[in-house]
Amino acid sequence: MAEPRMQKVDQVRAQGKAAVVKAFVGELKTVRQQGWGNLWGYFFIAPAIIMYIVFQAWPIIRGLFMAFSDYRWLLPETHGLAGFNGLDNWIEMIHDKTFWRSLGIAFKFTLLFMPFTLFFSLFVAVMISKVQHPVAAAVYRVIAYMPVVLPTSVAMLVWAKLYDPKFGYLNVMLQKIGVKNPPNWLGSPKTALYAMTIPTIWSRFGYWTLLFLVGIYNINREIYEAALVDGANGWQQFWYVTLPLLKPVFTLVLVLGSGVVSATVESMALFKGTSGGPAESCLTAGVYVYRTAFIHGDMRMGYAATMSLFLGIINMIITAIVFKTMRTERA
Amino acid sequence: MSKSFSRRDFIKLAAAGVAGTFLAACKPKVVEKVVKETVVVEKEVTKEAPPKKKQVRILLSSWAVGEIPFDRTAREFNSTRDDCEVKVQTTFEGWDTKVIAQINEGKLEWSAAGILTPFLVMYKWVKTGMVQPMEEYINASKQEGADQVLTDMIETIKEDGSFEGKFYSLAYSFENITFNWRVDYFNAVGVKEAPKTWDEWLSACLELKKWGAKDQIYPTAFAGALWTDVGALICAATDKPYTEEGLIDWKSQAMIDSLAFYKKLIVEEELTPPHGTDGWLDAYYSGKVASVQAQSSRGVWGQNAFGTDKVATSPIALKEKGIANAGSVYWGNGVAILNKAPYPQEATDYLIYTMGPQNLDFQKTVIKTGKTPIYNSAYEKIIKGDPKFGVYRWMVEMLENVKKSVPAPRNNYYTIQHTMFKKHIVNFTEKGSTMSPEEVAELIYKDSKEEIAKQKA
Repeated sequence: MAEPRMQKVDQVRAQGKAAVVKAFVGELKTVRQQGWGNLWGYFFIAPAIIMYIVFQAWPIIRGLFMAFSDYRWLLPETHGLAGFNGLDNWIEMIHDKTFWRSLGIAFKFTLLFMPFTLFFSLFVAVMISKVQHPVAAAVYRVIAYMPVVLPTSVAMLVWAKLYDPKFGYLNVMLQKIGVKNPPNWLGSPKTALYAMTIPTIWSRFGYWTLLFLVGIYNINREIYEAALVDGANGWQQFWYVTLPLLKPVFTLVLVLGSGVVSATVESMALFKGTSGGPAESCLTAGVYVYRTAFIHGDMRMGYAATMSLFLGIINMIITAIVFKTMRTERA
Repeated sequence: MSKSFSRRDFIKLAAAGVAGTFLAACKPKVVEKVVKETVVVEKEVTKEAPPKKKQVRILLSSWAVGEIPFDRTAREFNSTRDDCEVKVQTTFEGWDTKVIAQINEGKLEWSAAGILTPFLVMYKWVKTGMVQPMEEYINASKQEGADQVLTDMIETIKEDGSFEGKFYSLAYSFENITFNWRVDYFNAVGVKEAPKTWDEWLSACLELKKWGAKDQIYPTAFAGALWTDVGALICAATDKPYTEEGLIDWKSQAMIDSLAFYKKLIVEEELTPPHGTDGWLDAYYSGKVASVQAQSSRGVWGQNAFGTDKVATSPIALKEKGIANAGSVYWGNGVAILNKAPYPQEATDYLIYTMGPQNLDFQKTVIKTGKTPIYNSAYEKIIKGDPKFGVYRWMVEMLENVKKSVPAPRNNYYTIQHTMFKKHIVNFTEKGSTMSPEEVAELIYKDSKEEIAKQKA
């Protein structure tokens, strides 16, 4: 049923944008002609719709309004319609140096975090997929996934102890191998962002590994056998079979991992609050938004909503780019 | 569309469902009415039906409930009262938002909340309409000790719990910034008493540096917050640490001197962990810190870890002997009555029953946890009067210290200044930093003012 329909879609696409619009309008008319359809359907989806409206749609609408208002939690007179201030928040954001600096830090963090996590998770997934013994493979999967289960705050507490400048395991080991002045990992502005990236990679790569594993397990074995018959070695099988067929998984992990508001929780857990680390070297955009909305002064939630909306737009653009560049027949 | 089930059938069914739900929702009210009627009838016949007790719910931070037996005192209080039942609940994520939402809806389920640290959050709690003044309830309370609550309370603690002339926060203890030191380490270098001045502190630390070099012992440390570090140092250097606009006096000579001394300890003499604070707590618990300027409970944590004879808590060192000073930074660990609370009087009664000056057992428990009591009488009756509490004699010095302390201005600027302090202090205390005290003070002041300018309240 689905294939002829897909062929029809492709045919319409091939005719150009006007044909697509025309077909879409036609589809809408068809839906309308069908009337209400089976009314039980509405009954069954009602709980999900209500939940969506209450917990998703309404906060989004409220957030959108707040982004154009001077909503301050401490000042009731700024709540509601009275707080509407047009584009003032946006103008302030354009001139807010701390915001742009925090956005830069968030991008830098993402650029550090993404490639390493991709590499490690893919590497571990491929290694686990090669394990033939089912019990051993299960054990490896559990080990790889364990850091994901650990609450971020606990994980970061452990890492903070590992990073202790004088008594942490890391520096003690470095001293044992002859490093006289090991770095003050979390205390120095020069190293703090890198030190924050490592535990973030550690805590998230298990999830990505699992996604890659699912992708690898779904690849038809016959393709590998065919490649083997054609004389492809292990590397060539990986490069020409595994990687291309994992494109949909790559799309998913790139979308999940490219959020520029990432590392908010990690930064706040590692540096115990919204200080943003030494000399604010780890003040990511998310932490700055949180500080503006919940910590400082009047609790300027309106301005924080503006920054959040802007971050959301950036994320949407990145997601669109990822979808555009990673587009395949399957994704 | 299914022929056996038409649109009309669906609407009928839906209407029946809505009607059923409506009836079900009405059901409890019917039951309530029946019960009420039954009670009236039974009262007339048997006169034994117990009246419905008021459920007084109180929210408290989990650390306080873990430390102090508020649950037990609630049970004891409940046994003395027929009209109400107190239930202590620990705070949860986002509890304050929920409380404010319930206040706005007029359906608040809790009557009191804590723990409130006035110099950081009082302004916010009052301005959001979360709490209400409690003096009226204290005065109206018939609970034993109610008449002494405000008269016996240390005056500066009362000031700390007040906002714009009204009393909001009834504390069960106070904390102030103190000098917590390893007696055994200091004795080893011939220092028998806590340093009284910055010079004494420095010279003791220089000796400790030589003595503890082999074991990598830091002579001293700071806890890393504005109020534990230079915010406290300035109180030891002047009796006017705050400006009229409600900020710390960053431009004063006292602050410049405080920052210079801070840098001397951290960078010039290398007597502390990096930046004065990095990893101090783990090092402290490992016996690798000889002294730390932090809140007084940290000294008791040290006593619990190493023994009461090994760690002592003393007032922070003054800039110079005899200099006019503002004691130290301090705060009460308070509980406030929530605005539009269902049972504010009963909640106040419970707080007085538990935390009032008449409850000596409770005061003893507070003292044993290392928190300093807020009533003058507790010092006379317990710390000075009971030989078993001789080990807590240091608290008398804290009493004297807090009596002359100046409460931080009642605004929301302290947190902003703390953020800016954290932002700039690392560059100031980095090894090899050439930044002067004047420069860092100017940066913190300028950034704080800029952020404050964005606020309206």
